[in-house]
Amino acid sequence: MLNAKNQQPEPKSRAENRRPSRTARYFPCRVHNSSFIILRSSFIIHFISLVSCLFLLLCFAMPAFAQQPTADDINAVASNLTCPTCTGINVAECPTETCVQWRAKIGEMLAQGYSQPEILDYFAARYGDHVLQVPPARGFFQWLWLLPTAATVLGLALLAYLVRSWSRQPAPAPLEGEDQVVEDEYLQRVEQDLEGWTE
Amino acid sequence: MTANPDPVTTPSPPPRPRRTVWLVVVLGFVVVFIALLASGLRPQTSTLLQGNPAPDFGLTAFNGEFDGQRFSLTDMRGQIIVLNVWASWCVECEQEMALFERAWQEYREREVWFIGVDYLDTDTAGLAYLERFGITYPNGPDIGSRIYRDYQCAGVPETFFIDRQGIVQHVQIGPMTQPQLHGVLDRLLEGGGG
Amino acid sequence: MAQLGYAASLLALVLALYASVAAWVGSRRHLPELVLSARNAALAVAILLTVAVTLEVLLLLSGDFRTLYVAQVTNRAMPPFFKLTALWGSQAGSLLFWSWLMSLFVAAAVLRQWDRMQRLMPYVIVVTQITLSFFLSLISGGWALLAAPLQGLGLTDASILMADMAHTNPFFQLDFTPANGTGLNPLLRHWGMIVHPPVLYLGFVGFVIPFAFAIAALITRQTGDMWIRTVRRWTLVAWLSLSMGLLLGMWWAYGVLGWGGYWGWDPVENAALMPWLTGTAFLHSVMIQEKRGMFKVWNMVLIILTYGLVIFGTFLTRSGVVSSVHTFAQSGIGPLYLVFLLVTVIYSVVLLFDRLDCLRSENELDSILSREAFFLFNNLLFLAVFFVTFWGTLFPVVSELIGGQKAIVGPPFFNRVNGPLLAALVLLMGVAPLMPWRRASRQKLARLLLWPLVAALVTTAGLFILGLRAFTILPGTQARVLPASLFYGILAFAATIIVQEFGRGVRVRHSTTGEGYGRALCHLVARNRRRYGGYLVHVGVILIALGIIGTNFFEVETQQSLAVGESLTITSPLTGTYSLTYQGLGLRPAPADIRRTSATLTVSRDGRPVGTLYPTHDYFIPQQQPMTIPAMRHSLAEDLYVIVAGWEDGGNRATFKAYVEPLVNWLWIGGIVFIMGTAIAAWPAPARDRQPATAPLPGRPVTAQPDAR
Repeated sequence: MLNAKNQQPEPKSRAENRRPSRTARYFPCRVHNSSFIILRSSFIIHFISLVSCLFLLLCFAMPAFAQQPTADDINAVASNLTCPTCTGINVAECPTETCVQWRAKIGEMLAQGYSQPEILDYFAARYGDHVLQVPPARGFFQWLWLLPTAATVLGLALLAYLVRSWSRQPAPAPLEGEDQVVEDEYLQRVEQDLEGWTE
Repeated sequence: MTANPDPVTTPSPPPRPRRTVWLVVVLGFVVVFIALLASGLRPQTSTLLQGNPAPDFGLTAFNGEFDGQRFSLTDMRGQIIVLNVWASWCVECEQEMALFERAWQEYREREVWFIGVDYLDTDTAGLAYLERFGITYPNGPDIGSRIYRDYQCAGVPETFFIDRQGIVQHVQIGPMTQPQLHGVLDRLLEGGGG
Repeated sequence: MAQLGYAASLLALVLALYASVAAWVGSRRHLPELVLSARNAALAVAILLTVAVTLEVLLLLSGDFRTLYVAQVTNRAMPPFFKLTALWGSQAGSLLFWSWLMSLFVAAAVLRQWDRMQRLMPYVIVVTQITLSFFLSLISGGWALLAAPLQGLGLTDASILMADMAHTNPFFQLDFTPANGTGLNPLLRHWGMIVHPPVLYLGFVGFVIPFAFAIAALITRQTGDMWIRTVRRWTLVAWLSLSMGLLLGMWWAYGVLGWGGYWGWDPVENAALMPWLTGTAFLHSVMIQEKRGMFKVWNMVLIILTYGLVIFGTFLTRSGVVSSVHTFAQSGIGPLYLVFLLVTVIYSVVLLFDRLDCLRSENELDSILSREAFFLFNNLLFLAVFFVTFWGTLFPVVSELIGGQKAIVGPPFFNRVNGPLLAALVLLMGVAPLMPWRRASRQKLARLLLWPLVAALVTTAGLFILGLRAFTILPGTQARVLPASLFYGILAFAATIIVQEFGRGVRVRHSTTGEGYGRALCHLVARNRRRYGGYLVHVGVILIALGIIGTNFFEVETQQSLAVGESLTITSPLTGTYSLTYQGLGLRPAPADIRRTSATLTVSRDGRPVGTLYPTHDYFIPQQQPMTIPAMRHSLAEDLYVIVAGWEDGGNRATFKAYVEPLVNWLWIGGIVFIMGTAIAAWPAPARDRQPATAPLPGRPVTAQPDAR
C-alpha cells in the first residue's frame, strides 16, 4: 500500500509533452459594414481593421510559435521542486508517476509562456509549500534564514568577547626583537624540530 | 598539577553563583532540544482521529455534475460523509473505486455523501482516472495538500467516515471491501457510534 | 546457533554492566582487584560479541530464515557477498555490529593504555561500558519487558513501542520458517555497501574513546594535557575513519544514484557530517592546549559535543524523526535513544561545570596575529558550518511543531549558506600554518604572503577573463555575489602557501645537512610527521575543494529522447563537445533476481571517437524495484556520466540523461591524499627518535608528573 506503490515497476516512457494547441484561435475579424461610410474613410477603416486583425492574430497565435519546451527546459524548472512522495529527490530526477505528471504539466505551462517563478508559485499553491526545495521566505519559514544570521552576529560578538577576555593585558610595545619567527637558518631548523613534536 | 606562574594575569573561571546560572541556561537549551526531538517522535497516524471531531476541509469539485461546486465540512453538517483520499498512481485505490461508486448510487438518497480527495495529481491525470472508473460522486484536488496534512494521512488510499455530528467514526487505511463498507455505513445510518 | 548467539550477546550485556559497576566501586574504594576484574570483564565483552557477530554472520550466510533478521535482509537469490554485508543492512544487525566495533575499540584502548593511565582507566571503563550496555540492551529485547507495566499504566502507545523492541534482537526466532526472505534494498546491492557502513561506524564508535578519557579526566581532575596526548591517536583514527566513511559514501552516491551528485544534504548525511565538523575543530584546538595550555574548557566542550552528535546522529538515522533516504524503519528505539542522549549530555555538562577550576587556561592570547587566534577563528568557522547544517536539518521538525507548517530544506539552502563559510575556512586553512605561536611579525608575514596573494589574484582574474563567469547567489534572494573564480583563487592561495612551506623546510634541511632535495624532503616529513602530514591533509582538502567547486558551478546536464541512430550532444566547459549516438538496447547477463538491460552509446568528442558507454537499467524482480546504473567516462578534467531513463517501442526509442561533471575526479584523488596525510601525521615515530614530551614553548610552565595532584 501507500507510497511504496508509487514507484512504477517498469520505467514508463516519459509522458509525452502535451503539444500546445496548434489551433490558435482565429478571432473573426469584424469588418464594419462599409456601405454606410464614404469610400475614402471606408478604405482607412478596412485597412485599420485588417492591421488590427493581423495584430490580434499574431498575439493569440504567439504561444503556438513559442519554442516547444525541451526536456532540459522542463528539468531546469523541475529541479527546483522536491518529490513529495520520495525523500531527497527533486522532480527532475524522480522516476515516479507523480513526477512524470508534474514534468508534463511544467512542459504545458512553459509552452503557454509562464516563467519559472510563476510555475513554481503555482506548484507551491497547488500542492503545498513543501514541494519547493527551500521554503518561501514568509511566515515562520523566515526563521530558516534569520536564525543563522542572528547566530553569525552573536558569534562575532562572542569572538570579540573571547579575544578580549583572553588578552587582558594591553599589548606591550611591538615585540620585534622577541619574535618567535627567526631568520637564522640554524635556529629555524631547531624551531622546525621542536615544532615537529615527534613525540 | 601545573602551577600557575602568575595568578594576576591568568584568567580564572567565573565565581560559583554566576557559573550556576550559566549551567542552568545550558541545561535549559539541552532540555528544550531534546523536547523538540521528542515531539517529532509523536506517532502521527490518521487512526488517531477516530472518535474525535473531524478537521474541517474545503474542496472544489472538478468532475461531472459537481464541477465547480464547493464542499466543506461545516456546510455539510447533518450529512454522513465518506471522505476518500486517493491518487491516480495508487494501485490499491483502484480496488475500491467501483465499490464506492456503487455505494454512492445506493446510499445517495439517504444523505450519505462520498467525497473523493485527489492527492498530488494534476487535473488531467485525476480526471482521466475518474473517467476510467466512471465515478460520479464529487471529487476535487487537495489544494496545498491541506486535507492530506490535516487528516494526518501517511499514504493512499485512506478513507474517513464522518457522522452527522462531524465526528470521525471510522478510519480505514488501505482499500475497503464491500462488507466492511456496508457495515460501517449501516452503523452510521443508525446513528450509532464507531 | 541462534540461541548461542543470543546467549553470547546477553552475557556481554551482563558483563558490561558488571564492568561499569566494578570499575566505579573499585576505583572509589581503592580496590585494585575489583578494577582488574572490571578490565577483564571489558575484554570478555569484546570476545563474547565477536562470537555473537560470527554466529550472526553464519546465520545470514546459511539462510536460516527462521531467524527474523535473516528473513528481513536476505533472500535465496542473493550472492554470499551481499549476505555478509546484510549484517549491517538493517536495524538489529547494525546495532550488533556497532556494539561489536565499540567493544573492540575499548578492548584495544584498555590493553594499550592500562599501564600508563592507571588513574583514568577505571573511569574510562565505566563510561564505555555504560554506553555499551545501552546499545546491547537495545538488541537484547529486554525493553520489551516494560510493555506489560506500561500497558497497566494505561500508556498504550508506549507499551506497543516497547513490545516492538523484542524484534530488534538479531537472533529473534519466528514460530515458523518462511520459504524465502525479503532481501536487501536494491540500492544497497553495490560493493560500496561492504566498505561504507563499517568504516563510518568505526568513525562514530571511535569517538567514544576520547570522550571516555575526557570524562575520566574530569572526574579524576587530571585535566592537564595528559589525557589529550593519550587520546590523540585514537581521535585521529576515529576522525580518519569518519572522513573515509564520508568520502566513501560520496563515491557510492555518485556511482549509484544516477544524478551525477555525491552529496544531497540529506539529514542522515548531515548527521555524519556534524560530528566530523566538530571533531575537526577539536583536532585543531587540542594543539593549542598542548602547546600553550589554553582552550581547556573549549576542548572539553568540543569532545562532549562531538560525542553527543554521534549519538544524535545515530538517533536521527534510526528513529525517523526527519525523513531521509537512509532511515531504517520506525521503531520504539527513538525514545530510548533520546533518554540516553539526555542523560549523557546532562551528566557531562554538569560535570564540566563542576570541574571548571581544574581547567584554568595557563596563558592568554598575545595577539590577533597568532596561531592561537587563527585556530580560534578556525574553530568558530567550523562551528558556524555545523550550526547551519544542524539548523537546516532540524528545521522541518521545528517548523512542524512551532510554525504548524511542513517544510523541506533542500540543497539550495545548505549550498548557499555553507558555501561561503567553507570557502572562508579554506582561506584560513591556507594562512594559519604561517602563523607563529604567540605573535607574528607583520613584515615577515607580509613577505610570506606576497607570492600566495599574487597567485590568488592571478588565478581569480585570469579564470574570470578566460570565461569562468559563474557566481554564487546571496542566500534568500537571487542576487549574484561571489564569482566562482574567486574560490579558485583561494585554492591557489592556500596551495602556494603549502608549497612555500615545503620549500622552506626542504631548503633549510638541504643547507644544514647537505642532503639532496629529494632526501631532504623525505627526512623533513619523516621527522616532522605531524606538521607535514597535516600539510598533506590540507593539500587533500584543496584537491577535494577543486572538485566540489568544479561540479557545483560548472556541471552541465541534458536530457533527450533518441531513436536508434540518433545523437545527443553535450558541451563540456573544459574540453569539447561530446556526441553520444544511440545504437540499441539489449539484455545482459545478471544474477538470477535481476533483469539487466543496457543501452549502447558510441561517444565521440569534437568528431573523434572516444569510446562506448553502456548505461544499465537493473530491474529487481522480487522487490519489483528498478535501479539505474550510470555509465561513466573518467578523465582528470571531467566525467561524462550517462543514464538511461526509460525506453519505449521495444528499445527503438530511449531517453537518456547525460551529465558532464568537471573536475569531479579530483574529489577522489584529494580524498586519497587526505588519507595519506592523516596516516603520516598519525604514524608513530620509531622509539629512538622519540624525544621526551616536555618541550613546550618558553612561557609555558613545564608539566610535572602526570599524576601530581
